[in-house]
Amino acid sequence: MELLCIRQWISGLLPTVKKWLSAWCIKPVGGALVRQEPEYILLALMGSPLKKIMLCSSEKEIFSVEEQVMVQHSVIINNMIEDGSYNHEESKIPLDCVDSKTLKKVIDYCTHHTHHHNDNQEDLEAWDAQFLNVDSNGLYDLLMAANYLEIRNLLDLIYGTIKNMIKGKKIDEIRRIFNIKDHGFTPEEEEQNRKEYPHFY
Amino acid sequence: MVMVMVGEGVGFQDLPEGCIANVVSLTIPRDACSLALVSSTFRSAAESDSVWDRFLPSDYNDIVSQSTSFSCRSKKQLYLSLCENPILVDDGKKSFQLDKAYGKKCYMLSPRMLSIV
Repeated sequence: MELLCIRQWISGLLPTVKKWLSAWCIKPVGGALVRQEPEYILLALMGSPLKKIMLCSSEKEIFSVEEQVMVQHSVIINNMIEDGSYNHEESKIPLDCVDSKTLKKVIDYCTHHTHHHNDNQEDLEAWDAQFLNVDSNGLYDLLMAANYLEIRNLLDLIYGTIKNMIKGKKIDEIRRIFNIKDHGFTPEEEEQNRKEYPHFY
Repeated sequence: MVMVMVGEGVGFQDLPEGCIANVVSLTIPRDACSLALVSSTFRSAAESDSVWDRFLPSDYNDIVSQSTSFSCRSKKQLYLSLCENPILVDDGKKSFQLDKAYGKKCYMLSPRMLSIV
């Protein structure tokens, strides 16, 4: 909520600042002006580096990522920053159940959606489709990571994908897709189900 | 269209029940009933209140409160009951029930409601 107010305030200032910029022919700092968000523009003008945080995968690999990116997407990380349990000078956030490959993908997703949230819907969906062009193991790992970090939009994307994978499929095929070797029903239950609902199998 | 390549050794059978429930709640009631046949975990997820709460109309509490004879143990039972037993609403001027496969609301109007002034 606070970010929204700050952003609105900065947006209000921006036209004036931009006019000064063009009058004095000041060039953008480090390409940051390529991004649309007003606070990035203002930070670039002030020469402030964007705050970074460190995430540590289960393989002990450290990933440095813009704080704003992760705070916008992950409820868990947002809470850690807000309640002060993360110290920028010393800490890294250990993510023991997320491996490096998956963490890198999660960071890519969050970064892209932060920097491209003004893109049109079609482009974002195309990017998402390419992003989820993974095998089932990868999809499972992404789901577990998004669930752990509570990244709502990534979770919704993955749930929607899984739903499409099983939509209209027969039970036996769904079991193959999910590699379910032991369905957990007794032989009697399974036989009863097959007799009662043969069209689903 | 998202393409996912199916492979061996996927841990989907180990998906937490909550995650499976989230997927099921994106489908329709008819599909939820069939997904309950996949495995015992799927059945537990597909029959959970969190799934059937999504299938019930958002104002189901208001509708149900107009009928005196409602006591269901679960949201799924409530859903099926609303499909199979129409209830009178709006002071008896309309009857209400749910379409079983898709959960759409169905109203029947009494002749009094159809009078043209």
